[in-house]
Amino acid sequence: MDWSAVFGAGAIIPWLNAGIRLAMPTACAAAGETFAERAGVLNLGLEGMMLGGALASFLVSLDTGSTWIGFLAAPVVGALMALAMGLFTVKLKAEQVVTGITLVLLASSFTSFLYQELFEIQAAPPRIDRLPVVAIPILRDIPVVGPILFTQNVLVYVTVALIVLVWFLLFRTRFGLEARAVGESPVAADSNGVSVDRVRMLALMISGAMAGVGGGVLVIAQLGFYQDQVTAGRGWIAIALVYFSRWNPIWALGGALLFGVVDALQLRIQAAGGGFHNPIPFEVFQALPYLVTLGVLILAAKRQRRVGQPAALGIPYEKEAHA
Amino acid sequence: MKRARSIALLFALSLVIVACSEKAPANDGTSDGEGKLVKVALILPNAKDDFTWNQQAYEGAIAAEEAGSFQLDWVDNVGQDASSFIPVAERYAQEGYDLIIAHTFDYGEPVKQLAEKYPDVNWTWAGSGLPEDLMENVAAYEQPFYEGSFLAGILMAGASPNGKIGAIGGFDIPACHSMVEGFYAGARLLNPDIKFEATYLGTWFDPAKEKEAALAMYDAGVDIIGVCGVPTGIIEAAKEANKGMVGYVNEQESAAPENVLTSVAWNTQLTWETMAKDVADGTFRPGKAYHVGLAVGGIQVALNPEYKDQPNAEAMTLYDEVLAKVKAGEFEIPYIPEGSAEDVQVSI
Repeated sequence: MDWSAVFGAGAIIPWLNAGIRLAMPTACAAAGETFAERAGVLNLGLEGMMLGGALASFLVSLDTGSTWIGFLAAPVVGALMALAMGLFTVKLKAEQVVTGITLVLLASSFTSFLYQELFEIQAAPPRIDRLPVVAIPILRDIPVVGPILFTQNVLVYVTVALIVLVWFLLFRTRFGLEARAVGESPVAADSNGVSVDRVRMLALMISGAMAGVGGGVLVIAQLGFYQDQVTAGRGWIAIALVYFSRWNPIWALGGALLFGVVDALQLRIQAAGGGFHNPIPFEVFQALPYLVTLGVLILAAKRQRRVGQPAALGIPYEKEAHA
Repeated sequence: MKRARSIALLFALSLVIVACSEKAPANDGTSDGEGKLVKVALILPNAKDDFTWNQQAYEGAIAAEEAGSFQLDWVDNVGQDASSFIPVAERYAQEGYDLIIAHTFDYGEPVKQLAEKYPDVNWTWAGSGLPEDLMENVAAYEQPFYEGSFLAGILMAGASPNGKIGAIGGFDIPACHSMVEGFYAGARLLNPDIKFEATYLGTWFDPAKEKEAALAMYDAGVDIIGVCGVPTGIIEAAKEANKGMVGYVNEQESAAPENVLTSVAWNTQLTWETMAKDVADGTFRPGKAYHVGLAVGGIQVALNPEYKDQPNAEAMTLYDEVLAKVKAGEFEIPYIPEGSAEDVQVSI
């Protein structure tokens, strides 16, 4: 095992860069999910909305020839899917868990179907131009930090800005206050003149848009092609990260980064001789990001139990019942 | 009231899902007139356009149908689990298909259950060919990728400027383990000092993670990566880093002509035709393990002449020698389902 290939001076920057790349799609979806859950809506459809955003951004990029226009399609489709879900969970008060899982199944089947209808079977996936890596002047010259934080795909900056925006909306605006009120005590919010359904619907759409962006980042910034089920379960990890983050978008970003950096680390340890023909089973490496994230979660929970969990999370609000 | 209405709507929605995900078997009853072709049903767990496992099975079956080898119906995206497989397979059994191909290792248990219930139907699945995997009417077709990876390993060692190669697999199961050790064993036959690394991802399918795993390997000095799993993310990494990789199941050279050294290609057409012919001849039973490997062209490894660093002459000589001896039955490529290629003596 050659540890310098993992932790050596030349190796740390590519490692942390890989960690950021692995983290961003999940971070986006998780940050959006915190908003919906703060408003009391459990959006289990995240994986489906990511898939929808991924396919939409790919198709629009291919069709228009502009990856930027393709990127814009991702939040639009994600938000529309959330709107459809909201019709059931917010307007019709349907069970949120069942609706969310149904949406994932529907999106997973429909994206498969649509892709197969649009593209002949071929030897390699059709490609789009990936958005470029952009080094930010001056900041990129800071030693170590510059090449890691300020030499990234342009969408990394965009998504970090969006996550900060979600945090700002949630904790620094009137709308965010209403959303949190609706998630804690919809009855009280309602009696103060807040439209519970409207606020929950918007919150759900924000989470759908962010999930769509997550899927778009995967396809547009990282792969340059679409493949069936390309999101590979990232939506579910994002939902788990919301608990980790104690319903704070910035901590969701932090949790995703921790997960991504440890995931990148285990891949690099394996590649540098850590796994092959060694007594440590490969499963240990594969489990490492989950174990570390879980460990941090437990430590955090010891200090603050479920602080931030909205009291009305997952409970449909029916006005008549309280009239 | 509202709740009742939404439950009804959800039910309707779930019907849409079922309609989307399960394609009804096509109308095969219509073409009974000509000849007596064997009726084959191919059941694929995932999308038929996955560029590898499912796609190769699909393309091989279509090619066999077009060649007039059998009559075909297929269904894809069925899912890996028994509960989604059984209703689809059962419908084919009831419709009188002669041979049902269950194209994943995960279908083994349900196939054995259904084979008892439908003793007149012939079943085959992507199993390992162990005695307990077979029944009177159940065969298994092996996927001898390790034979191809051994041959590819020779080319990899001969084309690696750093003398360092590697492999990325989904899980450390016998099919992947033997393939990964196969790359290594072949490479060692050419160059006993070759360095080798392997990464297992813990998933069969995650293109973005595969790409990161491949980039990590290239950063660690690996020149060429062999694959046991979906290769699209690794092709992408090879192009980005301008390094090499070896395609898996399908021929992937056209995706990146300068970066795909060769592919461990599986000729599923031959595999399907071999089994369908046995059904037609009445020799399918008792079910056996089909090993349609390198010797008969079931596995093919051809050097891509456009690859950026062509293998050296010694590698090509050894490649030709091994291939000729395998075809002549004079050399058997080692199967290493566990343990290390370093502990296996190979002499040609």
